[in-house]
Amino acid sequence: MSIYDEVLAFIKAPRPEFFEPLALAIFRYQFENVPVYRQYCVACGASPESISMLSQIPAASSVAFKYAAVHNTADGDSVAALTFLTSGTTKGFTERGRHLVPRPEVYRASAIAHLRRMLFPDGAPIAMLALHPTSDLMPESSLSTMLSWCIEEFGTKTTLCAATRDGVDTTAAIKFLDDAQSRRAPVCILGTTAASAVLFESIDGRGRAIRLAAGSRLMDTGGAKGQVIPLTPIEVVARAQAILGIDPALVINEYGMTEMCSQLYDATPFNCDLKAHGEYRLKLPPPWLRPTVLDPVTLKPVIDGRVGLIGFFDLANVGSISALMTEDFGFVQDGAVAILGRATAGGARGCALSIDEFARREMAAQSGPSQ
Amino acid sequence: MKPPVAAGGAPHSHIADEFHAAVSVAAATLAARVTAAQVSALAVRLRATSRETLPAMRVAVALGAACERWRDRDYAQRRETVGAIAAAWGWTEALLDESIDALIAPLSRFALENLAEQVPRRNDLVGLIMPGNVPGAGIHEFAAGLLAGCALVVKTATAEPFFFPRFTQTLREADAEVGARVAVLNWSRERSDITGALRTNCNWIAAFGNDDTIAQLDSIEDSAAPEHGGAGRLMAGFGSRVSGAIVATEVAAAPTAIRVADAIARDVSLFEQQGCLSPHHVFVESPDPGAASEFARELAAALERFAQRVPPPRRYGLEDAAAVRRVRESARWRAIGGRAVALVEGDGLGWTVVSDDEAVFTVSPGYRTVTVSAVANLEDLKRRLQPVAGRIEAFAIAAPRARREPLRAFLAAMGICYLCAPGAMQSPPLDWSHGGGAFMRALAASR
Repeated sequence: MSIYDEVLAFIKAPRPEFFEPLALAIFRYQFENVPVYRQYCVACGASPESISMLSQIPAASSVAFKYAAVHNTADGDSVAALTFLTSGTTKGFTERGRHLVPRPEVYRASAIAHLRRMLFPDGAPIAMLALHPTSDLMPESSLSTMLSWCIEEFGTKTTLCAATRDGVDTTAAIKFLDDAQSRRAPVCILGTTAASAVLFESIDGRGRAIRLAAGSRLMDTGGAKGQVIPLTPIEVVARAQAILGIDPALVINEYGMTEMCSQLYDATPFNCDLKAHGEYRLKLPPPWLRPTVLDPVTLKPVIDGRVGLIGFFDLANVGSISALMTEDFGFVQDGAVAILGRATAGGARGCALSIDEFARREMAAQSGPSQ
Repeated sequence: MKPPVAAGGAPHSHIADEFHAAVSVAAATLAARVTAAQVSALAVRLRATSRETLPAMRVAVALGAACERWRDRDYAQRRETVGAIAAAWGWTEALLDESIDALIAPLSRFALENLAEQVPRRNDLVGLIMPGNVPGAGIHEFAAGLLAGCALVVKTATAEPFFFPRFTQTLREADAEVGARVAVLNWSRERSDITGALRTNCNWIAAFGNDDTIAQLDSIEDSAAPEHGGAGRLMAGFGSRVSGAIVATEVAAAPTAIRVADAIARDVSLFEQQGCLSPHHVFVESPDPGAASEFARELAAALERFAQRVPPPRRYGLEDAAAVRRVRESARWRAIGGRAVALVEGDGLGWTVVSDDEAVFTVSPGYRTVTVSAVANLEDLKRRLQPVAGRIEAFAIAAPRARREPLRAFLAAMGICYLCAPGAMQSPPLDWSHGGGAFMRALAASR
């Protein structure tokens, strides 16, 4: 059984006790076959001989995919391989991260299985409206690919992709939603938070809200990225309810990244029994994605409930690097994750120019899809 | 604000409780719930004191005496200040002591008397809005204002309400009449009613802070009474600035490189690199790119030597730690990716040197994080400085005597206010043309 087959088997029938042994096997595989990761591990003093626990596996920063060729010498040249690019919202096209996925069926299995649990636990096929280009229009976008798989797997024949690389066709999207309202057919809207905000604005602008049928849902992702006036997660839920009539429990934010083949979704009464943590909705990972929180000073895991940089071990990333450190702050509570924001700039600097101020001036107004 | 989140802080707050507790206790103690009415009443009293002319030399003597006491690391007011900031910010007392030494160094009695002879005489009531990033920042303007004969209302930052109340107390002890010309208050920037009262009651305002702070202040309506003359205008706004250093090829190699690197390491490390005088990027002028990477290694060794003597923070704000981490991981992976980048890093997040010959001026997150690049010549340097053109406060010049003047002229022509030798960046002279001389211009213009 190949390492990929082991991961597929785990996704199909997760057994928590097998996570760590499989993670260690994946670490050994990646150390052997992903040269830049091996180089990083060696610099960290880590090797298959020295690593015996999941928590000891060195987590690579997600910027690795931007600056180094994360190439799998064993499987990277497989004919089925897909390459996804990050949106490059802050550094321009030349600095876009690149994630080569040698075995896309693992990515698909991961995405679909967790979508089924978090967004489609009721099981019935549903009309789909994509507010982000699908994979035929944007093959380099991991989000586009995931949306296409989602539509194939969970959609009825009534689907519309109302987006191109240039933006959202709000006229077409609103017509689709008006039609669904007339037919009293539930709709699943998929896209970035920025695209949802554009849709909300357009419906607001015409002065007539839409009341979608019960069971309608919205999956947004990407948060503030690309938004002129960012909607907070709470505002997205409120606007979706007020403007589209979607039950707040069915407004579900996705957390994902191009560099990772597994995703997390808001835990709501629609998909689980987990309660929100104060003002934060917790996000649930699939069983094959183990979140951790790292102290940015020491890079050591902190205890549950403490805030730090979020890291993951993603079994579905078997073809590239599974132990990742993101640039997002958050905390983990009972295996669920609260995302608190992105770390980029450092604190305010009084009379000294901060990176954030500098970046705002230099790189304002660049936007793009989230994954 | 200073770092809002201690690494690993509790999730329910997202804000480090201990930080806020420390700052708010201190602020409450010192500010005792300031109101707009109190600011107005205080202004009346201060205005009355400022009408009674004090000889500038008496002010210089008083300031000189206060600074002399603050040069003693064991002086009680100073120890209290250092202890309070260390507790609130997580900086080490050794770093704060070294930084305050550098801050006070130029304020000798001789320099104060010299400035007293130059500064235009005034009887204005001036509002000084101090920054929260560097303890004691603004002391040059504090001194110049008093020497000019002005009375001062000092609004401290919420994050740094520690230095000026205690320094002013020392001034009162040195000369009660001089000290009576200063009131130090603290209120939140959100209290625009109190800031409005400050503007209404002062002839003019000088403010230190980032550009957003200055813009926010500028937007607060004032209804200054015309008899005050200056109408409470913002006459000197010190917005966001950065600093750097140039090392000439002749001094970039051993044995001089060690001395130069030690001096630059001190400039980088003081105030944890949070001030506008802290260098972010060191350029090594050499046709040989290897010279810069060699100097980067010397600088790394120097930063380590400095850190052994003057340790880095005991804790970091989460945002700040993540920002330094980001610099490190980017450099690390660019190096692994085959780019001509090298990363040298101290223990924890103690210090970080990124050697990158292709980099244009790179703004640092602070905390002893510096980029080193080779430049082929001065035109190349000019190109590298373009991203921060007009925002450079200071530059250290390490060069043989014969080369210093041309370098100085070149950098001065770019509008850089303070040019000095390495090691002197955090001790600008009293007559330093801070922010292009905005404060001294304001003193002269408001006559």
